[in-house]
Amino acid sequence: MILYLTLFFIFFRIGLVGFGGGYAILSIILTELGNLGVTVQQYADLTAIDLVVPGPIAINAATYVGYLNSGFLGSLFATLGISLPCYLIVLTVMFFLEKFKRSKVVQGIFAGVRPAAIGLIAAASLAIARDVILPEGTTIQTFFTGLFRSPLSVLSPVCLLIFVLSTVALTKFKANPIAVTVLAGVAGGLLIR
Amino acid sequence: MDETTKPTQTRGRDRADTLRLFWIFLKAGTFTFAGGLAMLPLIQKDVIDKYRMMDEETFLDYAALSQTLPGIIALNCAVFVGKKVAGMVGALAAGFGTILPAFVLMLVATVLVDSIPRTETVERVFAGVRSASAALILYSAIKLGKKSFQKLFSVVLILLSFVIVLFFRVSAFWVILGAAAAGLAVKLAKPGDDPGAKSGGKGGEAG
Repeated sequence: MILYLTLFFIFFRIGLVGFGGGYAILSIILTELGNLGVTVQQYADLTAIDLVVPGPIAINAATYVGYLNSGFLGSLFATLGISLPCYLIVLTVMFFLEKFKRSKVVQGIFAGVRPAAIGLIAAASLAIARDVILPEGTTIQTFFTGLFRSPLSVLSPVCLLIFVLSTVALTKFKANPIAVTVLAGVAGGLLIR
Repeated sequence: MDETTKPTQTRGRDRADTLRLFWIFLKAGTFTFAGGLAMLPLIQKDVIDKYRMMDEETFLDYAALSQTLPGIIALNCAVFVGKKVAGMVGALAAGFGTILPAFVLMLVATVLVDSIPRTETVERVFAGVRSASAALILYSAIKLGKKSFQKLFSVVLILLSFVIVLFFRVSAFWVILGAAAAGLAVKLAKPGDDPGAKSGGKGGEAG
């Protein structure tokens, strides 16, 4: 029971500060992975699964992480945990709606959390990239000493290439995310040694 | 409008509305793949154009607030619309409709993915997919960041939160609370600002 309540609490806390929608909430979950017993790899898979499962990304994420943590009840408690703050916050705001919209305090808070959410999302992206591109247990020291001896031993060139090309395809050419993900999977299966 | 003032008719209307709310949000949740933000136009079509549950201005107000408030955008919208149309029961019905398809389908997907045998080839495919996932998230950050990168205060906050989370084991919860405090401090330190003006307009000097 303690296990489920902890899970509920972690996701409740995430919901309370989940400014900026699905990917922002995903990036907050990333910083809790240690407490949730989920690896960065599993977390990265979630992003791909999200593309083909309908519904809000945050609900999908809570269901997925909760299940990996402790099965069906885990996903239930995680989903309830992340949903409850929406009710508490929206119902409170509706009560003070006009005051809320004009409040300087509220405007100040939003001016601060919006950029922070962007930084967090970028960090989540690079945390995944770091995890797939660099081998396990890489430190700054081993990376740079290895880089001069044999660059291919300190990073996965295929994953780096897929990451860079996918980013270009999405940002410059507005490529379809599902197509990019499928191609990346095929490329990984064929090229990674 | 005047029908709602007659108490005898409100009961039945409320029950019909509650079911309808559940159905609207269930449909929106089942047929949108790109996250909750993509659900809003579908919800708007039903709530405003089809069933005329509230005026458009109110809905757009709710939709905008759903995005600025913390939490799940589609669920925030469900609580706003549900509460407005049919009270607390309406908020629960709309919320349940939003959550149910995502929860059930994700559970199925998770069990399926979890059961894939992890051979070496499968691991390679997954590594490729994960590389693309990183790109996808970066793309979302770039899209959101384009506007914010014009103000010094925002740039400082973006970089600070980025570095703190990527290189130190700090929970994002504290980063966001810190950013909220910083935004608040900057806002309140400039008493000359017109409260009606867009927030953070001149935040640059203080950052």
